[in-house]
Amino acid sequence: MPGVKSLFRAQKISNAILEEFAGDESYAIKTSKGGDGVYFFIAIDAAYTTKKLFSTLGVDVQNFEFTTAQEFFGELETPILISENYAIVSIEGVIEKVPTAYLSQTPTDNLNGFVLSNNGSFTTFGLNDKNAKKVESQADDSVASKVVAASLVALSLAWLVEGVVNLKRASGVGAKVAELREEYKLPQTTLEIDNVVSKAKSVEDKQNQIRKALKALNNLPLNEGESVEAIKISISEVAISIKTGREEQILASLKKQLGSVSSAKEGDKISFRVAIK
Amino acid sequence: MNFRVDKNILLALLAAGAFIFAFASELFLESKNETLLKTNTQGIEYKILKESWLNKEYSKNYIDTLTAQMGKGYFSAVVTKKELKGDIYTVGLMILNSDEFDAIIRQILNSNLKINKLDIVSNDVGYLVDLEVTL
Repeated sequence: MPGVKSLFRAQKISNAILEEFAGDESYAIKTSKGGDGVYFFIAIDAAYTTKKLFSTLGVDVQNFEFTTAQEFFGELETPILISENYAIVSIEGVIEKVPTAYLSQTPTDNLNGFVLSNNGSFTTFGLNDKNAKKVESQADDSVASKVVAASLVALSLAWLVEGVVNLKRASGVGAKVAELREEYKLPQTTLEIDNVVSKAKSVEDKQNQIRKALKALNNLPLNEGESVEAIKISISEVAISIKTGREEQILASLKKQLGSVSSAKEGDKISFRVAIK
Repeated sequence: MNFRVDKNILLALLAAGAFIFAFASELFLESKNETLLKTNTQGIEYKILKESWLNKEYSKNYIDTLTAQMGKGYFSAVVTKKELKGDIYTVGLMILNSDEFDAIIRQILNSNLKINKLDIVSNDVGYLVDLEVTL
């Protein structure tokens, strides 16, 4: 263009060149310098382009900034390989496509699909239909995704709070348990408490068995001529020695009351025994 | 990389972790409450047992009271032996009267004395009673 010798000047007239897009906010206008004094004026449909770019690059539209390949690659320090034989280099601020055979420096980066080079100038890239459809469905999914995210955050907070409250309550209950152990003079551990209480209950149980057996033996109805000769009680056994000839009858009566009873003949006396367990 | 999907996966994992935390804390609180209930129950049981079967003062006083009136009347029961060694209290009685014998045996059986040994021998004179308890 005559009179336009710099990108700055070209940017100044870009609105005039693209005047039909200049007033429309849905378009972003970019100006770029090519080689041999060629300038590119581009009007970009922002919404459409960002959607398409999201599907191929995965970059969130909020983080996307429009730029041109010229601006992006203008200050390349190392060449970028775009195909087997060609690379992009920056020569005096202008990006150029150069055969790799001409490069003394080996290209280190791979560029795949970002820029398609054609006869030395750059063109914008296009998307195929499949990717275009994927971008449209992504926009619909984003609202649902936000709702899901918000719900998950709310649930997480609620459960965390519940967990903390439960732990606090448990601590209070623990203090109450310690108080009770102090009040009842119980040992500190559950195992010791179980041991002490079960021993005490065992004492009560045995004593009750002794009393029950002794009452039953002492209250035996005896016939004339029969007599209780001796009663012998220990913590393991209650025994009664009776002068009687009715061993079977008395044994049956005692078994009915006390369960397991044994008998033994000792001369003219019968000894009846009940084990205390 | 789909950052939205990753974010939701992370949030789902966080929610799962929070749920496990809440559930585990619920179980922990429940176990603490069970311990409280059990401790209270055991405490009451132990208190009752201590005041009954494990009450040394009660046991000694009971035997002393039982034997205090013996030997003061005719045909009354007589204390033949009374010995306290540590926590073992041994008493020997000779009871002439069968009604008194029944009464004394009934008093022993209705008490909370921790009987180790009770030997009763019946002869022509009366009853010889040998009682050993642990205080």
